[in-house]
Amino acid sequence: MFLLNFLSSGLKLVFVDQWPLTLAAVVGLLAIYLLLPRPRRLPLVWGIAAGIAALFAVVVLVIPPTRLSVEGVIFYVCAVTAILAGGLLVTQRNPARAALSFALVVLATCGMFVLQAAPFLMAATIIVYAGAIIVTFLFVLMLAQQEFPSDADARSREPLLATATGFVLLGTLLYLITTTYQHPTLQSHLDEVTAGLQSIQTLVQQQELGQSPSQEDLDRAIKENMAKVTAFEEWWKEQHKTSEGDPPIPTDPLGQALYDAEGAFERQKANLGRDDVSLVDLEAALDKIRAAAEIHLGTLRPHVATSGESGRLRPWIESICQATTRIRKLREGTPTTEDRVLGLSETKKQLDDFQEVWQGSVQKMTEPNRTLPETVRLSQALTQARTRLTEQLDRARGDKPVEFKEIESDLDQVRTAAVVARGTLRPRTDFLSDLSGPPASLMPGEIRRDEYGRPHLPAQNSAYLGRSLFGDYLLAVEMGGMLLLVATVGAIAIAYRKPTPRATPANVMADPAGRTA
Amino acid sequence: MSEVFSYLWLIPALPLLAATVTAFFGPRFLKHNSHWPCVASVALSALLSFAVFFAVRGTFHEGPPPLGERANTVFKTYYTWFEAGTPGTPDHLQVGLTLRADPLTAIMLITVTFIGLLIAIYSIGYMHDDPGYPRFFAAVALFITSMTLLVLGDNFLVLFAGWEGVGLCSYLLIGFWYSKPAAAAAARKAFLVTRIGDAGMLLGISLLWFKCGSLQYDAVFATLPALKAAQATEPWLLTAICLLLFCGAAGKSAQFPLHVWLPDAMEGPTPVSALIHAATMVTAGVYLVARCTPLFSAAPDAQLVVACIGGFTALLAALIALTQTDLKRVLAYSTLSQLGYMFLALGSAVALEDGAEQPLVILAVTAAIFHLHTHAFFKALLFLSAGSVMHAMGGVIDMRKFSGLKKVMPTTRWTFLCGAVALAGLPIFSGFWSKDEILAAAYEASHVSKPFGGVYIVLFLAGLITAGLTSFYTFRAYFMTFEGEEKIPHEAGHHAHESPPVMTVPLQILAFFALFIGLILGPTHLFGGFLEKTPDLPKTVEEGHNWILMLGSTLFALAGTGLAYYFYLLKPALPALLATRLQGLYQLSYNKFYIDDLYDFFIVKPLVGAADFTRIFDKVVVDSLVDVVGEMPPLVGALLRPLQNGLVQYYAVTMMIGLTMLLIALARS
Amino acid sequence: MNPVPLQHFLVVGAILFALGAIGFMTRRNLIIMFLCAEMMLQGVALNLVAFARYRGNLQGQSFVLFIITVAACEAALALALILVLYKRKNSLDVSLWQELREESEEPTLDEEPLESPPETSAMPHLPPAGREPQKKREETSHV
Repeated sequence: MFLLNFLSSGLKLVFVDQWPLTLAAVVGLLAIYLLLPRPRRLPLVWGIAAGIAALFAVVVLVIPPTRLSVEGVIFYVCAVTAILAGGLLVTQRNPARAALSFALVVLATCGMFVLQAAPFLMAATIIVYAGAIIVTFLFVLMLAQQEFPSDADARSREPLLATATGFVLLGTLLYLITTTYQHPTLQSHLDEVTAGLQSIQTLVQQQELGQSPSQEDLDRAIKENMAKVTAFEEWWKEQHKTSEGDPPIPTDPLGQALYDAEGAFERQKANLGRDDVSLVDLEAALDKIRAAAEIHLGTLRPHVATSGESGRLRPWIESICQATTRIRKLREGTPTTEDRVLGLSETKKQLDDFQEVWQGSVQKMTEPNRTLPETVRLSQALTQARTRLTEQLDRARGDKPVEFKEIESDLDQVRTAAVVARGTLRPRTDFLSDLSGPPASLMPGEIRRDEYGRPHLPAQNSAYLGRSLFGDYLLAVEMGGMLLLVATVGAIAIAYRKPTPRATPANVMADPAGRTA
Repeated sequence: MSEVFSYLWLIPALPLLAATVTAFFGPRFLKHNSHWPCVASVALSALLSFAVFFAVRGTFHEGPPPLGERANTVFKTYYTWFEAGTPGTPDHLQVGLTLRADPLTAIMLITVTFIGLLIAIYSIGYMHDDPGYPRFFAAVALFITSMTLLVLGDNFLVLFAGWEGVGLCSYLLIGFWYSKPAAAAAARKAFLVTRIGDAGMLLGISLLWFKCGSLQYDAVFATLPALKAAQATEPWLLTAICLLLFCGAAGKSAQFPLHVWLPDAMEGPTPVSALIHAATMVTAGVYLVARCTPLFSAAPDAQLVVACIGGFTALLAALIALTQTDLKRVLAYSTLSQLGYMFLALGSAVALEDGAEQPLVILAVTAAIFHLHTHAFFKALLFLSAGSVMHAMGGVIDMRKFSGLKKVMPTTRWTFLCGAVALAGLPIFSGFWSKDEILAAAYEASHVSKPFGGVYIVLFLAGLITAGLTSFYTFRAYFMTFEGEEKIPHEAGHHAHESPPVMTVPLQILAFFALFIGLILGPTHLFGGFLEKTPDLPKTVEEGHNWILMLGSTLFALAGTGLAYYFYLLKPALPALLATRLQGLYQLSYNKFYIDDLYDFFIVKPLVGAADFTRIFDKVVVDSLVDVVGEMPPLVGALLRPLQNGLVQYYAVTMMIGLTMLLIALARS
Repeated sequence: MNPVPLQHFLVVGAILFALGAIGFMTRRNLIIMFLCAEMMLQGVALNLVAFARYRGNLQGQSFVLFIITVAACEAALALALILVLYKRKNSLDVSLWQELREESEEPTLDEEPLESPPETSAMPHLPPAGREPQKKREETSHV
């Protein structure tokens, strides 16, 4: 039954939910399979056609292109070149030509390195790969020249099995990438906003042409788009809800853009009757939303479940916040004894439950995690808060004054400790210096970005890379250098040929069996 | 005198030390001197036993007795063997390595160590030149250890330990010549048959513990009133306990259903037959029942069973002995018969319903132990004499192959004759007095026992007939061996001669005791007077001998002797004629009433069949199942082996498939 | 101006990686196999660079530098090994090396015959000046 369920859900996923991916993978498989060298050649044309179809399917169906820009064009040129050259490398019979296609792959990849702000790497890769490694390969090819056709070049080992394995692997990889980095809801909101933007742009064009749009058109455009923006904003806030309550002004780019757009629409709605609606204001606001959303389409991780200990802490942090609010109300108001006992005992119960859960989590932790200062701090804060609450509960029952302020500060400490402990499973922040850029423990929304939404990188890329390498990665660099040295020595030792003794007449006499040959 | 009790533990410990020393150093260092540790330690033990014997006569209290004060008894606890249950609760069981000396123990000790000493000395000559010389003496010493532990033990578990120890030694010594198939088979048979009895005995001991909460004799006997009271609801209780204990006794003492091992045990060396299978070990059952007299006398049904089995065995074995031609086998059946006598006596110890005085009980138990004592001497003597004959005849023991040895072996002839008259119960010799007491006890029992009086009369008559048969087969053996024309088998060679002094001197000593110990101890009431001091035995009342009974038994004995004389000396052709005339009866007796064959047919054959069946089942079903399981890994291996084809690219594919699986698992989670 | 989203680079990296894996698994020329392995490394390097950009730090780029180092070491050793192997069997075919298989297994052999080499015309012999000599065939044969 379980197996049947598993199979049916798997088949549904492959053939219904992810049909573009499956299609692309199958066509690609077909292409490589047809093109692989074999003693009796299969029709080349079909293979090439299938390859192009597969590439097209990937570009159009699997990762739909964003609006083309110069950067995008360069990317697509480089990517298609790299993939085609890679296919050529795999299917090419002649090893020398294969080496040259690999050079092409390297060059295309280097193009993409430049796009990703890695000029130093581009240069290094070209020099090392294209300049040194490929040339060495060609030298070896020349040394080890073989006749044509050879078993080595004209045959493939298990073409179908290997290709199928490779494409299942590729399909799985693509599935993981697309499900991790593509978000349908955000995409639909973005589409709505884009449509709204287009409608407003038509109105703007009308205005520029001198025809002032009718009042109903304006009214409809503003109201419809405002509804869209509001829905978008609500959904976005839902996604980013935190226990500490919403800050008045969002900190992330998309949130800010939405907030600004809401304000713009409010302003223009007020202007509706007065006939000086600034459509350009609205257009700019919507454009800002679109830009921010497009950034997020590449960065959002919607379905990553909060797993492990940090995920488990989240509801408890919220409950501590509630408790703090309750205590604050008790402190500020004039509660009866009954109210005070009730509130305190409720808080104590919350803390008790929290401590139980936390102790369970601590026991399940590995030794290093258990002794982390963050973990210990939360345990201590919990114990302290509970002790004080027990004390104060007795006082409240005895109708004595209760130190609400101390309780509040204890709870605050618990909350802070929990928030910190929640982050203990992230990478350590103090591992690398600032030279290597922002630490990996930062969430994507916390990274400093430019106006296009891209994270800041140091301007002097190569210089900073060098500092990072010789600062944070010094040991690794030294080890890499040692590795290179050892490899060089090893290569010489392996390829070293013992000088064979010449067959002198004396040798031949001594060894008539002719072993010297 | 009483300081001797401080050395009580030495009696079993010394032979144990000797056994250890002989076992470890004998084959390598002692070699032909291996007898010294054994003889010396047994001699010391015998000395100590005599000291204990004399010390225990006095009235004294030594150490805190476990239950109240006891006269004539010493308890020495050396070591807590094990404990079970919570202290202070009824189910608490503490078993200590406790030794106990009282008159009954003292008599047994003397019997065991003194006869053991004489036999050990005799063995020096008899076992001379045997390659297993050290092994023999190690086993004998170990046997003395176990036997003394058996009689010294103060609770059923120590007794059981000694019991199993003597069983082990019996096994080792019957199978002493283990390369001989008959000896190995006999050893196995003895071990297995006695094990059946031991199982019952262990159950009996467990039942005792369950009901009495203790295994110590005194403690068990102290709960007797409670057990009697419990019989109101569980009427089977006491009878069951007694019968289970008797089961062990019957196995060890070779009584009727379990008697088949003893004749076969004659495959062992003759000194072993004398020591273990005539004088001491086989009487352990008698000792057990005598020790448990308070229990048995309270269970008349069990007593009846004991008496019946004893009487029946006595008669049956005597009948078989009539026709056996193997001298040692005649003696073995005679031993069975005499042990049956002892159990007949013990079974006659019927308690009177009223009154604290139980004259019959003490009479019967005294008779049994007295007979045990005298029998030990004269039967050991007979066996050793037979061994001497066997020694001289080059290992031949079939009476048809030799005769008229009185000139060749004068000393042996006289000692054998001494044993024969003692066994036959001719007047004034040992057997006369003890056998007479047994018959008297059975006769008394027929008066006393209300419901079973008739049965006891029959048993008494059987005993009387057995007495006649005994004297007949004894003198038959004597006449066939020593009288008549001289005939020596060729196996003996030209050097058929009297045995060396190291063998004949113990024979002469034993002969003296065999003749006169009955006269010394019996009519003077020395024995009864001493034994009655044993706690838990009722005190005796002076009673005269039943002269009519004595006359009757004398008549029977003399008749048997005369008949033997007539048959085997005056008319040597008559026995053969009689055998052909009474072919059926003769064959029945000659083939031991076909009991071995019955066992073979009804027990051994079905068991062998069942074993065959299980063996085939194991081979066909279990083995093939195991084989199937064993075939699985190679099968799976054969399926997977093509993967290992040496091509690096297949390995790469496998790695990639693994990676893909991992990714798919990641994607599904 | 819109930045190209992260996943586009990841997809290209994955495709390069998978293509390299397929090549490594199917191609039998040792040199092509190692080229394919290098292509897999390129795919990974592209991933790392893309992540570095996405996270706004230099850690991914540092890693790529180490990848280049390792690739250089690997190339040095692999080429030396390939040379040794070639000297042993006079061929670059990796399938000639299957001695490590299970003892009872038959060696894997190729059954389908290779197609005959394409007809190549005899090389023309050029004089130093570069003009084709006007000689007859039988005269050229003993040069």
